[in-house]
Amino acid sequence: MIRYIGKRLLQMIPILLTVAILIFTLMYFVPGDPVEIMLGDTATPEQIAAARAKFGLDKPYLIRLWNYLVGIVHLDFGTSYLQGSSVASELFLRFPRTLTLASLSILFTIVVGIPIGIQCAIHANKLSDKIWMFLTMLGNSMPGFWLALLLVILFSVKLGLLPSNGTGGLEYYILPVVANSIGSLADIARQTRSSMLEVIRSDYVVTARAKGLPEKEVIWKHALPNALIPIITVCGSRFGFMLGGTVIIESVFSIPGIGMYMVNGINSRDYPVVQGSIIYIAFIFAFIMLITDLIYAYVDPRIKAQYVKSVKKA
Amino acid sequence: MKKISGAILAAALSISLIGCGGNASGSGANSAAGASGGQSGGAAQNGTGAAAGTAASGQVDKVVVGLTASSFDVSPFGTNSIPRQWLAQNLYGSLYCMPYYGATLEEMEPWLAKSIEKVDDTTYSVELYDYIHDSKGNAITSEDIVFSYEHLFTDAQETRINTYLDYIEVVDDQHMLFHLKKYGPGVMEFLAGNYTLTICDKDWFEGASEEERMNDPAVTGAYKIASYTPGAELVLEAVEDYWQTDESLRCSADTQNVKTIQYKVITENSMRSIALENHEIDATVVDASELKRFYDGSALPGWNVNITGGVFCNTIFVNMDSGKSPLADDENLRKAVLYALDSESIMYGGDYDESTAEVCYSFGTSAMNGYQESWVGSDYWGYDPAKAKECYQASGHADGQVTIRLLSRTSIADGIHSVIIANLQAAGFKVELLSYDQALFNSYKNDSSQWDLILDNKGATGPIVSCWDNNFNPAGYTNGSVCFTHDDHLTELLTKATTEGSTEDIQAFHEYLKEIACVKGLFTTYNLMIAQDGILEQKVNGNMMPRVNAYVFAEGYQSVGK
Repeated sequence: MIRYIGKRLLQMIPILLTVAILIFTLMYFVPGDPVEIMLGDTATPEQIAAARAKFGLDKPYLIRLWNYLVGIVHLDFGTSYLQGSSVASELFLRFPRTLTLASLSILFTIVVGIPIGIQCAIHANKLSDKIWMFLTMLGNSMPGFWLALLLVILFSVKLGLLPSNGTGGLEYYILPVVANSIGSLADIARQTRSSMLEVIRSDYVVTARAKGLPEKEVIWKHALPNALIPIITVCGSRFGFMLGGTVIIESVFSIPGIGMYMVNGINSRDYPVVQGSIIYIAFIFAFIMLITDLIYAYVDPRIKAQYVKSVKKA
Repeated sequence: MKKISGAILAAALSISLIGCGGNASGSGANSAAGASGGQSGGAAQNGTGAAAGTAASGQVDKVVVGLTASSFDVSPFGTNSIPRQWLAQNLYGSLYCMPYYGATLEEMEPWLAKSIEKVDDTTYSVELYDYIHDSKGNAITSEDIVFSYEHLFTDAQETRINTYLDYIEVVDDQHMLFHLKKYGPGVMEFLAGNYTLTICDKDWFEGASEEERMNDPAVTGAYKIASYTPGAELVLEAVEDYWQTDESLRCSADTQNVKTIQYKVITENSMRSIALENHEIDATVVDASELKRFYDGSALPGWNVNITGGVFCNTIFVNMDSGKSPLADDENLRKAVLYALDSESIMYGGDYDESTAEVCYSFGTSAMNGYQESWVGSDYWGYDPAKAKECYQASGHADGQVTIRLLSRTSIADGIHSVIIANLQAAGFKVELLSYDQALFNSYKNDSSQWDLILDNKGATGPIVSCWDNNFNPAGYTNGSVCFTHDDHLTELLTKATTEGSTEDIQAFHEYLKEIACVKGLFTTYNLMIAQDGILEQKVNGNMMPRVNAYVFAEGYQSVGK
């Protein structure tokens, strides 16, 4: 298993390198000059040229790309043109906030979404199932921004129970987590319902019931583990997206996370910020997918056996 | 199960009803804000105050202020940004302090410099106090001033230093001669105390790590950084052993009316209003769409509102590059465009009204020095659809035959674009809107082949002639000017207006801009500052941004900030 993990980690290197080259090339060709934004209207063409030279923006594509790749190898993503701070240290500083928000959100999603999906599957096509499916559809179609504002108006302004913005203790994360999770929660509930429905009709579940096992045991011990693989896939990709930064939630609740950092960088053509953030997201996503695969192996011994075989063959 | 489902459904409905149905400005939270209703206002007035309470004689402990942007750099020579415009002068001193927008050198207040005397048009003698030291005890001398101005140009990209300043001649530790490249209204004022100028000790800066420069800089201003969380908040504390111990020599910028200033980043406009209403912050600025929560002609109970004049003019420029635009070679078409545009409707289209914006009657705003009172209400390309149509027809084109490419930004309200397009279509033009993000907009605006009309927001540090100089001085452009004019007479009039700055020169340039029909100032938006009513007066700095250190508080004011 350890060899499998090692192999997957090594596979990440070409992925990250490709992402780095792609994003660098895209940013190189995207029109919009960071120097013009920085210097404003009063700069003369000579001053603009001098600033471009200072930031190395006047060098040819290949030289800039090479310098950039060499920097990445040394974990140096460059310095933000606008903020003057190191991109790597800024990402490092913001990561805990994004991680907290994403982890709490995925936890909330799983803890609430999976039981709802199971209940819906057990009571398929009954009134409770229909109500939950209606609510999950509502959750899916409700814009996060709007929901966030409603939650703030109710819990912060009207009831005065929770802070409306900022970071601090756990209480600052309650509203952002709920607003961030509703869409994923709805997705996971629906996915769980459909997977469970498929499994519940299987022969071994019928057999378990026929043996007289209590319904709870049938569902939680026999049905759910076999329905988990697609649910884990959805959870994994949702968690990956959340770790990439949820711009709207961060913006509404003034959480200085990765998402806001990247969007500010894009708007101001702050190349080092954009490139560094995207490489971070690519790494996080690849890493989460690896974790997801490992969880597959944990919940399903057949998959674990496949991993071991594939490593031996290689 | 059914009961649980029902309860959740009911809860969801309650959230929607409570959330949507409430009147945000009249909530219970507001009425708890206290005492009598703050009042103030007066559109485009510098500094207003609430009548509630008595002004505090001493320093209050804390104030929490909502900042509007998250990306900023507080190191000594950081790149300019909106938050930096608020707080740079809390941290770093300049030679003189600009007490209000557009102040002249004579009206400016001495800060690090004891005096600035004019030797001749391009030479000024500067004398520093001989007891200045920064927050880490380093003495500030002439050498540090020279070092700071060099770094402001090279590091902070403050390009105007290079445009205005030739060199600084050091006479001794406290005396210098500033040799200028150009002279006229606003030039020495800029070099003496613009909000972007920051003075820092040379030895400290050269020996400091990046981390120290960012988080614990040696400051020459009245506040130092207590804590800084990038993107989230910046807490400043009054420097206890501030170098200027003589209170009578303090200026507006180094007043210490507050011991701790907590700047809290809240980028979303409505969330800043909610934070005010929810008593999470004491003061902030809001956009026009939020003003009605706090103001209905006068400040609503619980609030202090300060509405200050706009320093940016939303302007339409016409492409004057011959052969690149149908407008450049046809005066009738240009006149048709300018007569067709209804500044007032365009302003309303952006969701502004008389309490949040005002129409401009020149290329500049009424807050700028040199803006003539006689222009207000004058015939400045007044909206005249019949005349616009007439000019269009005089150009010999059929309706819809001339297509205009209007370059603008995605951040501009759609309503503004809609009204401009409707105005131009009514005159006979066909309009193609090219709306880009700021970076793309910046790339295309200097290319005369990309647009026929451009909607841009232009400002100045004080005098209206600076605004004109920034945009029509050929030295700043590879292709004539902001709208590609190649007009010697225009440049000649500009030189006179920017160097002499007499009323006649200003009037002559204004009239000539009108005559050649290359630009129309549309409207300016006010700065809207809101505070809890225990803050009696919200002062502004030389850039019309909040000067929190000089806010005036009611006796015993306690910050509402949590």
